[in-house]
Amino acid sequence: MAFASQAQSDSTIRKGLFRLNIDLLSPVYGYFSDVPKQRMGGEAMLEFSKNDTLFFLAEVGYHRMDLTKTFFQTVSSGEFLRLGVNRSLMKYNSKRDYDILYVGARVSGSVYNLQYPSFVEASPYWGSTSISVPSANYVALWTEGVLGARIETFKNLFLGFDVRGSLLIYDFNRTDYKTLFVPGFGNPQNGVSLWASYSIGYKF
Amino acid sequence: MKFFSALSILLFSLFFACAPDVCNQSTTHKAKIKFYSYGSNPETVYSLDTISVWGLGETVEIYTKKANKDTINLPLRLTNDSSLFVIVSSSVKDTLTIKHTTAHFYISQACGYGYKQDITGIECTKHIVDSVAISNSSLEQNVKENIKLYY
Repeated sequence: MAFASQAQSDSTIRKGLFRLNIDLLSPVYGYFSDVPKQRMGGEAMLEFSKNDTLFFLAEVGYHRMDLTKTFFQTVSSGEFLRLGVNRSLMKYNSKRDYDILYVGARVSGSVYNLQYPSFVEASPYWGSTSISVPSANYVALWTEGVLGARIETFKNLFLGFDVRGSLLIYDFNRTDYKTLFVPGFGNPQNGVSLWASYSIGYKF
Repeated sequence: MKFFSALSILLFSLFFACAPDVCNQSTTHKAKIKFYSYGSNPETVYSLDTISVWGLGETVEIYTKKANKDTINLPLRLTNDSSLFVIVSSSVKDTLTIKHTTAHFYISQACGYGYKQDITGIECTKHIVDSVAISNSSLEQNVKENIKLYY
C-alpha cells in the first residue's frame, strides 16, 4: 500500500466491491459488562464501491443500555441507521491489494425507547419513595466523522477498526428525565461522543 | 500491517479505560431559617437558649435540645408540596408550615438527579413565635437565609 499521490495504473484498476461487515465490539463489550448485562447489541454494515475509492455504505444496528445507579434505573433501547460514504486514502499496489485506510462521514438516526423502571425520591430525613416513569419513544439525529482501516487477513475476509466522533443534531426528548444513552450514538449529554468499532467483513 | 495491529490494540485498551463514577455533589439543599428579635431596628439576630425540631409525624428529631442556636437548616419533603416542622423553644411548641415546589434536574450519571426546591408560602403558629417571613425562596448552596423567624 502507499498513499494516493499519483494516479492508479491500469493494472491496478479494479471492478469495485460489495462487502458485508459485522461489528465485533458491541457483543464483546456486552459479554464483559456488568451483570445483569449493562449493554447489549449488534451492528452490520453493507458497503459498496464501483471504483474502490468511494465506498457508499449503510450501517444498521440495535443497542440496549441498562444503567442502574443508586437512585434510579434507566433503560434505553432501539434501532439505529447510518448512511454515508468512506473515501480511501490509499493507492493500491495490485489488483489483489484490498487493504484500505479511509476517512468517512455519516448521517445517522435512531428511534429509541426510554424507560425509568425505578426512580427513588430519596430524602435523608423524610425517607424514600420509589416511583416508575412511563416509557416513551424518542428520535435522535446526528452526524459522524470516521477514520478507519480494513485489512484483508484471509482471502476475502477483512478485519476492520475505526474511531468516530459524533455530533448530536437533534434529540427529541425534552422531559425532566434525561436520555443517558442513544443507541448508535452513546451518551448525548454533551452533544458529542467518541466511539471505536471493530468489525469482521467479507467481500463478495 | 504491524502499525495497524498496534494502533488497534491501543484503541481497544483506551476504549475500556473508563473513569469511575464518583459523585461529589449534594443532590438536595436544606431550608435555612434564621431567628431574629421582633421589633428590633436594625434587625438583631436572636439566639434561642435551647431548641428541638422534628418533622410533624416523624419520631426522629432534627435538632435535640441544642443550645444557643440562631440558625437551623431543615430538609423539605421531596414528594409533598408542604413540609411541617415542630419547633420547641423554652418548652413551648410552634408548628412551622413551609409550602414549596420540587423539580428534578439531572446532574450526572454518578450523582443522578438533584432537586430544585422553591418556597412558595409559609405559616407558623404564634405561641412563642411572633411572625415569619420569606427572605429568599430558592434553596441553593450559596443562599445564606431562606426564612426569617421572629421571636
